[in-house]
Amino acid sequence: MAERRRHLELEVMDIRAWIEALPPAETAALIFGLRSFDLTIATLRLLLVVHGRRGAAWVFGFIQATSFALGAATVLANLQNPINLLAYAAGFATGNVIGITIQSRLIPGFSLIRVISSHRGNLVAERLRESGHGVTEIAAKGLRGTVSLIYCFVPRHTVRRTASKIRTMDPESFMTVLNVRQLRGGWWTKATDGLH
Amino acid sequence: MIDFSAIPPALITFAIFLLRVGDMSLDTLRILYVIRSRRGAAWILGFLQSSIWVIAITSVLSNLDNLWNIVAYGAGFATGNVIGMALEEFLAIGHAHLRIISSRMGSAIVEALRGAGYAATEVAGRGKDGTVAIISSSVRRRDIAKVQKEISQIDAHAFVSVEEVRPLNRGFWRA
Repeated sequence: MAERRRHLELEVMDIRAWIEALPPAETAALIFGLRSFDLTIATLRLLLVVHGRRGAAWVFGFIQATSFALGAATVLANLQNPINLLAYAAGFATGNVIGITIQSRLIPGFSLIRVISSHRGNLVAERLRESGHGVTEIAAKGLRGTVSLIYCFVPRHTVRRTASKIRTMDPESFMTVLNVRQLRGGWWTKATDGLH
Repeated sequence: MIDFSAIPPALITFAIFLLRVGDMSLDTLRILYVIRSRRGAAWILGFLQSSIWVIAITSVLSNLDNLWNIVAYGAGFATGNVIGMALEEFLAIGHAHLRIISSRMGSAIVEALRGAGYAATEVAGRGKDGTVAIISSSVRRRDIAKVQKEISQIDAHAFVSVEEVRPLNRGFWRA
C-alpha cells in the first residue's frame, strides 16, 4: 500500500515536472487550452446547478476539480509573463462562451416563448401549429387595440430557431423567452417525448 | 491554516474530501441564492465559504501530491456541489408560478385552487381544438408537488408548467 502510494505520488509529480519543463510558447498554449477546457466544464456545471440536474452536476464537478488539481493549478500559477497572462484570460473567456454555446444542447428541458403580436397573431399561431408546436392564443388589449398573446412551449435547444421563424412571420412581434422548471401533461409533451 | 503534517496520510485524504464538501455545499447554496437575489443569505454564505477557503482549502491545495488526495479533492468538490443543490431544494424558499392550460376542467381547477387558499387568475384562450382555460397561480415552491397532484386529480390532461418568480407585489394572498 505504502509503495503503491509512493508510486502514484511519483506519477503526479511527473505530470507537474513535465509541465514546468515545457518551452514558453507551448506553456502559453497549454494555459489557454486548460483554462478554456476548465471554464467550459465550470460554466456547464453552473448551469446544471441552476437547472437542478444533480447527477450531471456531480460528474462535471468531479472532472473540473480533478483536472484542476492534477495539472491546471501548476500551469495556471505560471503567469509571470504577459503572453501567459493573455493566454489565461483568453482561455477563460473562450471556455465561458463555449459553455454557453453548447449548454442548450447538453441540458434538456423546455422554454416558454411568449409572443405579443398586434396584427398577425392568427398567422403566427397557425404556422406554429403546422410545424408541430403546441400553441395557446389569448386575445388581449394593447395600446392600439386588440393584440394576440401567444404561448408556445419548445425544447430549449430549438428556442433560437423557433424565435427566428416567428420573427419572419411577424417582424414587429414582441417576444420573451422564459425558463420553465417543470412541465407535465398536454398532447404536445407526449408527442415530443423522445426529445427530453 | 491547518497543519497537515500532524495528521496521518489516510486521514488527510478524508479531511480533504470533507473540507471540500463543506466549502462547495456553501458555495453552491450561495450561487443559487445570488440567482434569486437573496442578498442577506448570499452575504452570510459568501462570508462563511470564503473563510473556509482561506483557512482550509489553500492548505489542501499544497497537499495535492498524490492521486488519492486529488481524487478526494474532486469527489469532495462534486459531492458538495450536489449537497448544496439538495439543500436549496429542501429549503425551497420563494415562490413559483404555475401556468395551467386545461381544455375542459378550467373552472373546477380554479375553484379547487381558491378553495385551498391560493390566488388564481383565469383567462380564456384558444388552443388547437377550441377554447381552453389558462390559469395563472403563484404558490410557495414547497407546495408545488401538492398542488400539481390536486390539479392532475381534477384534469389528468391539464398542461402544467412551473416557472420561478420573484414577487414584486403580493396582491391577494392567503397562502
